[in-house]
Amino acid sequence: MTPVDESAEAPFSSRRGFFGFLAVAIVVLGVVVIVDVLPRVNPPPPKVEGTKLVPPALDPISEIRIVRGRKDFRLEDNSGVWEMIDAEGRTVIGNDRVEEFVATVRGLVQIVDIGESSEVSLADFGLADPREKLVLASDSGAEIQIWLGDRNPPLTGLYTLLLPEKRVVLVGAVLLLELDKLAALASVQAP
Amino acid sequence: MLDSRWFVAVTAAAALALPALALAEAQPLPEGAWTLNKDNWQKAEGLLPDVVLKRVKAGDYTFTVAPIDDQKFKENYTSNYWAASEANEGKYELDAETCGIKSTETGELPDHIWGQPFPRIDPKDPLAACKVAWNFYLANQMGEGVGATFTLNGIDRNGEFRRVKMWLHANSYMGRTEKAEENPENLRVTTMSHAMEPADAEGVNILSQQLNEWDSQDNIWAYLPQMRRARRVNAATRSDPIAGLDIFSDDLNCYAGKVEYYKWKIIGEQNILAPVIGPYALKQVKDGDGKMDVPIPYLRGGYETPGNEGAPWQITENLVLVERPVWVIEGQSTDPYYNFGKVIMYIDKDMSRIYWKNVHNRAGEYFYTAMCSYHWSKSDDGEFGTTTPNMVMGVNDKTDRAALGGRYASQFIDRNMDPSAFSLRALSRLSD
Repeated sequence: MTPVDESAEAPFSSRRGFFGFLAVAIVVLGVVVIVDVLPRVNPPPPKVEGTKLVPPALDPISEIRIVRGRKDFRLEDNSGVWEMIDAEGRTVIGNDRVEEFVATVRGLVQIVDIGESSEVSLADFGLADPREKLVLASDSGAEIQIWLGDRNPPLTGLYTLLLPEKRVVLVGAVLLLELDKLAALASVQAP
Repeated sequence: MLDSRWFVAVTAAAALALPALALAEAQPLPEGAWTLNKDNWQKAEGLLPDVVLKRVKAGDYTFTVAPIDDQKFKENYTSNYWAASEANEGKYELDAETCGIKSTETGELPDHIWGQPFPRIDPKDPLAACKVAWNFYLANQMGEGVGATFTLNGIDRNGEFRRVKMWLHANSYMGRTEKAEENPENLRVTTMSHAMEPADAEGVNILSQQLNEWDSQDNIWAYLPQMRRARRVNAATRSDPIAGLDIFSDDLNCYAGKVEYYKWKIIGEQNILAPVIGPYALKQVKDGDGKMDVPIPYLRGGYETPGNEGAPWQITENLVLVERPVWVIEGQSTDPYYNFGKVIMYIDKDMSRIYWKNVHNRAGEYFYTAMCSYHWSKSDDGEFGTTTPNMVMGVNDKTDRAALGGRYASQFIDRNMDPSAFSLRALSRLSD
């Protein structure tokens, strides 16, 4: 029988205990750092992907024309002051109202590209007799026309016809809200 | 691992809003009440958000509409609330950049405001919407300490598909009726919640703190029983769906965040049909020093009503609509991580409650409407009262699904809540 040298076992046991303790300490420290020290990881910001409704090249927008039913009015950037022009004449309106409108419309994307206007039935989207027309123009003469059709059934968006591209696209219903707010300046009711 | 984000979300929101909850008999209908349904939907034209009226017209919703005495309805709040509101005229102003509130006299952020800080609103004031928001925010807190056990029910055309049961306790500091003796952590409100069902969520506890600062985010900690430890959670999840349901943590009171998180704007004023229980103040039943219970009738859902012909998520009992004057307010979050785009809210001009909100996503697409109902309660002597959100009906109009949150069977008010019940120690011990 081989005698057990207990004196040789002790250092090994001690080392094992030390490294075990060290491992635990590292794990605990790591958890503390991850949970309480490192900056919190934010979720990725929501992404709004897709083609913008208004081409970025149309900048700056200096004129907005709106046709609601038989009534129409125009907004014009007159050297940094937005004015409303209608049958009553010219009225200076708050820049913030127009700038917010422009910013919101610029932020809209084409949620669904339905297709070329010649390839679809405009009546199916309420565009055969558009309820409203919105024209955005820049100083350079470039412009985009956005014809608004009926809202889609659950009211979550609305169909539009973009000219001169001649494409029918679905955009967010917030466009109607913004038009309502802008038209309220001129007391023009939606048709 | 359990994904607790939905739970964090609901609690975070609740955090800030829910004040209270007992079982009561069905409410008798107020005199002159009538039924709004698909046969007479025209009577509500201009009195409901378009998307809601469309569902009435389609037969999804039938509502009981009750006439009210406007003065008596205002008396749902105590006379001392209205007196304090009048006395607040000129005492407070706003920081135009953040919408943060400050004392006119000292320029400092107040730690307690009783009554409406802005009793008179001029819609031409560029900060008018912000003032309306502060009146709303502080009125949420007058109950001081409150709690409730409630459910979240996911409902589609086939009925209920998921049910979560939880309790939530809230202790308010900033807008409470009487200033708290101590507020060492400089809080506006703190909440603790505990999930009870289903099994995959049982034992999840959430602690949240809303600091009384203009620019700080809420502190939120979650205790996950699977990990047996608490960890800090990102507060930017209030616009995430809860547990895959069509309801969001920011739906409590129809808005559960700090006033400073949104940019606010008045875009109109009109009358609206407002969902309430009552409609006059319910009775508080004393249950000890500073403690009260409020018996509340159950808001039965269509999915649990035999013979229901409308949407399964419509409320079929004890809810009435009353016509109220509202500000139409647009809110948009300043947080880039927030999922909502423009949010349109209908806020009572007098009672400072948000009854409806229409939500657009960040692409500008409308997708969701929340109906937020309330009740008011008062003590026997009429000296102490509170308002409590009792239900959110969230409807996703894109998916034609909905969720009901709240509808509690019991509510308590505790004016002397122990602050230690809202601590990290309490958070981890709740599930021991």
